[in-house]
Amino acid sequence: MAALSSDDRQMLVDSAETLLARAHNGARLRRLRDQGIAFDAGFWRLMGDAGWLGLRLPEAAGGSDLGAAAAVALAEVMGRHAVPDPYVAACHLPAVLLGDSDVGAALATGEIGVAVMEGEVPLRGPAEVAVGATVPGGEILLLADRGNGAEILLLRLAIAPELRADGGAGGRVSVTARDLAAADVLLAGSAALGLWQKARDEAALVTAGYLTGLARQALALSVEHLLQREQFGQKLAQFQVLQHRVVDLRIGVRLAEAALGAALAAPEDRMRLHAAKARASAVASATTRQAVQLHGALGFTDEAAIGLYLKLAMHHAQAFGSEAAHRTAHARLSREARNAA
Amino acid sequence: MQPDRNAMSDADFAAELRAWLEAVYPPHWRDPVLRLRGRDAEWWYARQWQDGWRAPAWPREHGGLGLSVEKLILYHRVTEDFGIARTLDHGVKQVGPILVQYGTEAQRAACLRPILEGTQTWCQGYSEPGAGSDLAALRTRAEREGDSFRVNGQKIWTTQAEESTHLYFLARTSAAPKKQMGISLFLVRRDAPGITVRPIRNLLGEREFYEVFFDDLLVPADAVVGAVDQGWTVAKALLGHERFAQGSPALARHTYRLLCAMAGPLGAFDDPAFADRIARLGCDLSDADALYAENCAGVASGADLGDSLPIAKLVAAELFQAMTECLQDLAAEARARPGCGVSAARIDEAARVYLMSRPYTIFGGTAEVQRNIMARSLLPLRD
Ligand SMILES: Cc1cc2nc3c(=O)[nH]c(=O)nc-3n(C[C@H](O)[C@H](O)[C@H](O)COP(=O)(O)OP(=O)(O)OC[C@H]3O[C@@H](n4cnc5c(N)ncnc54)[C@H](O)[C@@H]3O)c2cc1C
Repeated sequence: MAALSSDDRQMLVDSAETLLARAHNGARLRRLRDQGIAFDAGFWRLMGDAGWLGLRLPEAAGGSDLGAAAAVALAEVMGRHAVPDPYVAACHLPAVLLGDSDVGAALATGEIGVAVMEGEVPLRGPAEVAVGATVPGGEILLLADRGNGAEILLLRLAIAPELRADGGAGGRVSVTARDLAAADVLLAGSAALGLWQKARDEAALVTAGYLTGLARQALALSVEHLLQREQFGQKLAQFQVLQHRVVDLRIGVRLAEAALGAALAAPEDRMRLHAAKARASAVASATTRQAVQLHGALGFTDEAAIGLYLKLAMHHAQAFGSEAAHRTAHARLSREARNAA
Repeated sequence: MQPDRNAMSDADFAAELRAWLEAVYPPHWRDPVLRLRGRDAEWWYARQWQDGWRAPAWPREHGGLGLSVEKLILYHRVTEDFGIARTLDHGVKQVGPILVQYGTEAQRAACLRPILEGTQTWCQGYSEPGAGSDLAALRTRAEREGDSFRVNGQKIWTTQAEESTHLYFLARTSAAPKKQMGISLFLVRRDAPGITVRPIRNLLGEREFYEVFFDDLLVPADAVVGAVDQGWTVAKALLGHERFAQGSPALARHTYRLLCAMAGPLGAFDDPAFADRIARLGCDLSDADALYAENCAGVASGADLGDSLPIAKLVAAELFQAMTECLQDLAAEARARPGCGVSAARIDEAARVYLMSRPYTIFGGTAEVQRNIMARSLLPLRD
């Protein structure tokens, strides 16, 4: 994997800012939602053309193999712009699992997205399965145990879209015994379990990046509002109670940034990963809730941007492990480390 | 001259510092909650000087170790990990750096060497009964009389005033349109006629801070540091010195270890309420650590840290307090369960740490005032 220099990082961030400013805004998000479009194939293609979908794929699959740091940088920009498209669920997570297969190559160009079964317990037979995204081609990765241990399977099945109240789009798939029997095996054995885990860890980390960028922007929007709106003959920003709240939100965002940096710097340290996702989930949730409060009734409208941030925070705070789940996992590892010492 | 250790590798530096601490530092003082004072503190300062480990941040030409930022960070890390007690050491931390920046040759000659040797110790007279957070409201007056100033007024909360040999203090030297103007910084011997001190008992039962009264105290004009009426600027300049170290979550980490050690025998890790609280504190500590490490790296590379230093300081102080609160609640459990394997001494230690952590959000700028200051840059209002 190539290391990401700070120049490369800046270039990536700048180009993402440019593309998103042009191709994405709140109106697009609302249109997708109102028309029940779970997957915007046109926008997905744009992301493919920009090289984003290949960031995590090996060069053999047409990717740039830049690793998690690049994806996190990109996700921060996506969070900042409230991009709803399932970059992590339908690209980064499957990319880690796919490696240099043909499917990986199609993913890199934006021809397809790939859905992944939620959870980390292998499927043991036919079942209705929740997947993290609705992709039109129906490419799905499953972790299953068909009697010979864990396997990562690739299938093509129709996905029933699931539009949630938080605006996020997941899907449901009925997996039959015949489907399981006919599936392609990508990887088997303990390697499959290990890779599945690694992919979910990375997805959690990139999502932490998304949430951090999102929280930073929700705070910036609130600051803007407080500086502009007047009540009782003064700017809202002059009320000390609101000033302190803003400082506390800023402290949260700063901690999320530091936790994320520490997790990226130590990819083998799962405690850092858990701390980072727990923090990002907590901070994005708290910041967007407070942001709505600071906006008053305006914050409860569909029209104001801040509500979009609240809903995206709801969705991504839960994705790949909630704050509580990661905190508990952190505590478990911390206890194991203490017992070992 | 103390040795120049900047050329050493980080590993050698850390190993040498550690070995020295192992060799000379009294084991019963290995407690970061402890604060040394009086003779104990003086002994420790003198020992640092004799062995060439005194005043790590002072420039070498003034007798300090002149450590590079990288080595300074390491110095703090090693001493924290070792668990040395806290010291007030205003001579090294405050007075020396002020004199290096603003002092006259005569002032440096009179103070720097004795501070290094540990024979001259300093206390700080800034706060007054009517001037706490609003320090510039101070009313102690210093009136010019020929070559001297005549000082009248009162200071309060002056830590370790009784045992210190010297006092540096702020007083009003002229009425100015803006209250930050017209203040000067003075150096004086603690036993000068006209100074009396009275102890104030704190929540731990210690007499560690004092009231200081000035009754017609005469100080020579050359005891003013920097220009007359410019004391506010002089005192403020100090705040930047080694400020990164205030963001270290060392006390929070220490308390986290205490609480894990107590939680084990109590089975608190298997109690849902405690388990969740401890899990939360564990994540908080990890993130505070990450922020402190980023700040250290940023200081070392000269990066613009923005508001990261004050954030780390607040986080460290408030996390330390939250740790002590959890520890205290565990102690309550332990007290209710005789024979649980937690000693009475441990239970009492919890109460002491809980009390001792309270002022961390009060001194050196209260948590609320720090938030006010941060809000000014986050919410830039045009007046
Ligand atoms: C253990 C200890 C040791 C000390 N040692 C020294 C020493 O050696 N030398 C020295 O000079 N001083 C010392 N101090 C004093 C310390 O600097 C002051 O306590 C501090 O500046 C706060 O002032 P105050 O205590 O008067 O509180 P106040 O300023 O009266 O504050 C009381 C409360 O009101 C809040 N408050 C005040 N202003 C505002 C505002 N504008 N907005 C919002 N909230 C506000 C504060 O945050 C606090 O919660 C020490 C204090 C302690 C606790």
